[in-house]
Amino acid sequence: MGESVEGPARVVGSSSATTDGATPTPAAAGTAGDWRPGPVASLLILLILLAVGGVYLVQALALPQWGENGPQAGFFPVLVASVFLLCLTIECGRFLVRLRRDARSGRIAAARPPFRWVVAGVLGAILAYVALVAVLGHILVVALITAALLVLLGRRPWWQIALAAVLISVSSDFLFTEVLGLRLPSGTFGIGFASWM
Amino acid sequence: MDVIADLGAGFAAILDPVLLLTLVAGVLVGSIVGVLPGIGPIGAIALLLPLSFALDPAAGLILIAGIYLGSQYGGSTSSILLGVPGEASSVVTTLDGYPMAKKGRAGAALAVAAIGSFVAGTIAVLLLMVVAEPLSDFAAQFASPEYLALAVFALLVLSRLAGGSFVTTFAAVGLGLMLATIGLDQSSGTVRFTLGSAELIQGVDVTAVAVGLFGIAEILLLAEGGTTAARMPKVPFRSLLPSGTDLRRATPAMFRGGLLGFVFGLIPGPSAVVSTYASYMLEKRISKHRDEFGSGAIEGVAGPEAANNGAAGGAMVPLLILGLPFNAATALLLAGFTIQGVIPGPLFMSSEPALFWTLIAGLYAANIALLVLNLPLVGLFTRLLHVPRDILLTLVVVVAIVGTYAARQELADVFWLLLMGVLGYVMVKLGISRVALMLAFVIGPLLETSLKQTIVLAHGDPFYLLTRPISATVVVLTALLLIVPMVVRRLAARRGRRSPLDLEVDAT
Repeated sequence: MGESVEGPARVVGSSSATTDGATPTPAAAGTAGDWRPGPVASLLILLILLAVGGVYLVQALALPQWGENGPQAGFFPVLVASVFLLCLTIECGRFLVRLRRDARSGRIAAARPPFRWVVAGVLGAILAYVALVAVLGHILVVALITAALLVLLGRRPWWQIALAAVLISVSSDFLFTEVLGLRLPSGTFGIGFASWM
Repeated sequence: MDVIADLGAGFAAILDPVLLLTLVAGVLVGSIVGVLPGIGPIGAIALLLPLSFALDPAAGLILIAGIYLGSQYGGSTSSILLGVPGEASSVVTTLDGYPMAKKGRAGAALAVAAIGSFVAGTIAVLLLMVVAEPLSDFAAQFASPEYLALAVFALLVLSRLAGGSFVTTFAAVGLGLMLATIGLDQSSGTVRFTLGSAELIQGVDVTAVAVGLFGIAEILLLAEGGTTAARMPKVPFRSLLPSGTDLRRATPAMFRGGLLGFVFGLIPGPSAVVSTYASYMLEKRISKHRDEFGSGAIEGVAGPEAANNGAAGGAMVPLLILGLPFNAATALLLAGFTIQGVIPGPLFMSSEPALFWTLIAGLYAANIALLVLNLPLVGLFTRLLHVPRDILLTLVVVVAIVGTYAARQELADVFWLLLMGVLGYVMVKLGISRVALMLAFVIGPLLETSLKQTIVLAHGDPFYLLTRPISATVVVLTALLLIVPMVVRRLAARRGRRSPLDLEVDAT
């Protein structure tokens, strides 16, 4: 699959750093040595997306497509799903052709950096918020996930982690509840500025 | 004269202490977040958008606009001082800005970048003032067929220009459109694709999509990267004053870049990135100091930085006058406007003139604030680059979660944040455009409504769009923008030369 022009970038240019040359110039921090999905993972992702598209199309076909007044609720979704599945099918085909070509040419894939589980940890923190905030309230949950993320992402003494957890959880609750006037859950224990004020 | 009077009223409104404070806060916060490598303007707007919810429409829009412009400038600070582009549109600034910093001329580079951004911002606001009324009157003639043609134009041209495979980018468009159809169909009242979940009847929240795709995904990439803060040159305040020679060389480049950027901003796609490259190529071609490019030519900083800001201003034209975002940043701005209950489009100027001109004045005032505040505070901004990575990432994750939840007070939105974060991360790894998905998600409802109404109006005529002059023009323009680059590339390949349309940016 190709590269797109977004987000953190690295320049591919000449050593004299113009825009019409060949050698690399400064890379964005964090791009060197990062994990990229291998052929199996890439194919799995494509298949998952195809499955999502397929389910969507089936549900879209169950909706009314056309009526007396013209297109109905299912018309646009069927069109969109068809385009999506067509593009994905083409991409799957191209991907398999590339794999076969690489296999025939005996090209050995470069060793990939391993997947960094810190990524799963960050996602787990978000999931923990969803799962626990109704019971524990915003302050407690944010304190827990702050502590977990700091352990995962850095190496700090326990007291710094505890201090950061308290500061970030309390100040975020204060900022959103008292300053911006938005409600945040205080949980079954009633811990939060929304309950206290 | 009416335009000047209206703009004057807009400036008078901006002088309200609350609005002024909001403006300064937006510019500062945007600059701070923009300085941090990896997050970029789109991530910054996505993460900070929820902060605008609690404000009234004028203040909310000005905050968002300040964040937008501030984050554009912030990216160039890290490009110049660290040689690490904050985001894709700051890559070109690195080519000459960083060499200038290594030669002890970081102050001049930063100053020229700020002044160039200011000049371009001024040009953009002036041009916006000039075209706003006539374009609004023209756009008032638009009906469903014209909006359909424009929406398809935006998506197809973006898919072409976003880089990478057209097929995968178009698949991303399809995925964005699919997401946009979840929930209640406004025209028929049918509930679609909710899988029985009551929370999904309202649809997927734009904040969750934006923050997930651009905020959380960037956090995951940063967490994976494990970078450490680099050593930076100190920038004494006195050195921020560029010399007479610097200004003499940089000023024409600023004006050229600003104009070029504005024009590019009118086209769908990564206009800011494309405009910076176009400006750099132009400056290099016409410069008397061509040999300096790549090792510290001041024009190589002034032109692209002005182009970057000019494109930001140009992109506001389709957003404010047509109600159509042509890139991810303006798609997020549209989301912010919608949350504030403001619908940009042909009627925006006539139905909400006070708000419209306050916003225009706010954009100009944000440019002034950028110039006045950012240069003296550059030392503070660069200190931020030393904030421990673990603290920074943790803070951003918490802000992202809470901000997303605060939008509708629905935990389902945080779950979508998680899903979109995973999707955005995977899309970056596979080189698939997230901008295409975001843009499609935002303009999906408009596209569906326009398509249905056009089909009804067409009475079975497949060439109906070509019978109406405006939509026919847009269709022809779409075809040209899709076909011409292909033809130019093929011709260049036959001659064994690189196409002038090829950009040497390999960005993920």
